[in-house]
Amino acid sequence: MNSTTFRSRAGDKYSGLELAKRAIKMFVAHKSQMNPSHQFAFLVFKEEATMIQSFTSRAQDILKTLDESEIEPQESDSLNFSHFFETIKENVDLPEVQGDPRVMPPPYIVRVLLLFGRSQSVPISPCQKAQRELESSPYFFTDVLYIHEPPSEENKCEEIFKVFCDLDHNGMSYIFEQSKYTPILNSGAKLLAHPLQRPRQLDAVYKISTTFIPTAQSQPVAPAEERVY
Amino acid sequence: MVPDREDIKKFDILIRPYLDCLLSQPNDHINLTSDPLRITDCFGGCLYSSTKDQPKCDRFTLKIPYAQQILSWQVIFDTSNLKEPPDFIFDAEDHDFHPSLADINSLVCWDWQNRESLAAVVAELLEHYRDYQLDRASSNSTLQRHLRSLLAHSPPDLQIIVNRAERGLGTLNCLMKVAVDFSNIPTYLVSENPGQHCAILHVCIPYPESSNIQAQLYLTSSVENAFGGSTKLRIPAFHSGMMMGDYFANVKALLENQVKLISEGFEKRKDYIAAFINHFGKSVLEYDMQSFTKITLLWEWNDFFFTFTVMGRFGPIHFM
Repeated sequence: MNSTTFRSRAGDKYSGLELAKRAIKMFVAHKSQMNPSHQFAFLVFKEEATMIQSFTSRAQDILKTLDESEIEPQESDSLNFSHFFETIKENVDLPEVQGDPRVMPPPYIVRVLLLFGRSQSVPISPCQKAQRELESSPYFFTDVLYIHEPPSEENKCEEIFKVFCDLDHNGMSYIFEQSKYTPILNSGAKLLAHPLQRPRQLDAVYKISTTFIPTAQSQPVAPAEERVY
Repeated sequence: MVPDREDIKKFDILIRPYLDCLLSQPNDHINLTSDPLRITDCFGGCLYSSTKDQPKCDRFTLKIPYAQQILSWQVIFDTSNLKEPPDFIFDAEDHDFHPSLADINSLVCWDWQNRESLAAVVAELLEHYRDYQLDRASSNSTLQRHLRSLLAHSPPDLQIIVNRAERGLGTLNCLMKVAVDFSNIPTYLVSENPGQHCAILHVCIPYPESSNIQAQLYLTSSVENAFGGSTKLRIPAFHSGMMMGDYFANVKALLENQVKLISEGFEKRKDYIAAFINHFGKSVLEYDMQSFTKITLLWEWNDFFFTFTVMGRFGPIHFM
């Protein structure tokens, strides 16, 4: 992650790791502001996946762990998804399905947000058992933000991205790949969306127009005009 | 079989079901508040030399929370004759409270095999007791006017005590249920105890000619939460010259109005959020789908991404 540098619009330079940390900080800060009940845990993958921060709703604790943690970018072993999902399974309690999951909201959901920053090492997935078990719950989601150098013949970015896309078994995941500073943070913003309330990734529309948006006549709308600037 | 409560274990086994029913099952016709009934001073009327280890109590004092005071009624069964209904001895203060036996249906038709029989008798006696207190209060013309105005509004479940004073009558305590339909309060506000919504009004007239009449409103905790907490409660002061019936009607109207405001506010918020989702559902980040007080969206304009949050209360949800 340290081999690539990303430049912000203002001209500041960041390594991939610094940028990933920045994206996580913004994510945690925004999510906590949207709802203080959200909880976050932090898992780092070196030789194997290690939980370095267990679930907490205290955003300050997460941010502090992030700052203090010594995450060294490694280019050696491939990320092993089996270990990764097994570790997650050990540390996570998914809520029981009660009633119709399409109608009855659960007390909480669990979402894995994977930030991956390698451009040469393709993740492997020898056994999908743990992942499938987790995915058998309608309240488990996996999202990916893949930060990489510009794709070329010298790296494996496209192959890696394909592996991540294959993680999305039910079409509910958000998978992003970016190689520039601002788009990386924008993807982080899109990942703020609650998996049970957001549209499918390809259906999402964020652009707003500067023209007057007429109110639909058939729907009752509380304000008389909705002028968006 | 549910094991017997500690306080009734010392009673004869045939009496225990009556006591268990009386003490464990909430009964609106006996108790308006959550203060429990208690039994004290229990003893047995018979002496058994051969069975001294067996619990044989058959009489006790029943402490009944009533109109913010406590009634002490002695209840006397007879272990040698348990198919007969019990006798009652009332408070010394109420020495002239003698309801006619023939008027107490549940005593006349006492069913010793029905565990609810004792509770039924107590409830019916309390009705007679209320009438007795109303009569006592009517000996004072001011109190009579208050009570007449109150009874004109037919308050459900009324409890009243007029204490005697050195000369004439002293403090009047009145406890009544205010029948308000709480079913329109959104469920998320009252989810803990869905069936237990209740408003009880207590009015205290220190002495008949007093102009300083005190009133207090008690709500079940779920209703109190829905109204925004106990500090938000503001019932009107009882102005001198006002009749109890008018005051009762005012409080009832106030509560009904607040329920209406809460439920209308909720519906308005729901519509408002629905309008946002209708227009901008494809850029929703998160919205509160329980109380509909917040929605956050992600928008992009000219390559600039920003979050847009609408929050707050678009209608009053606090009791002010």
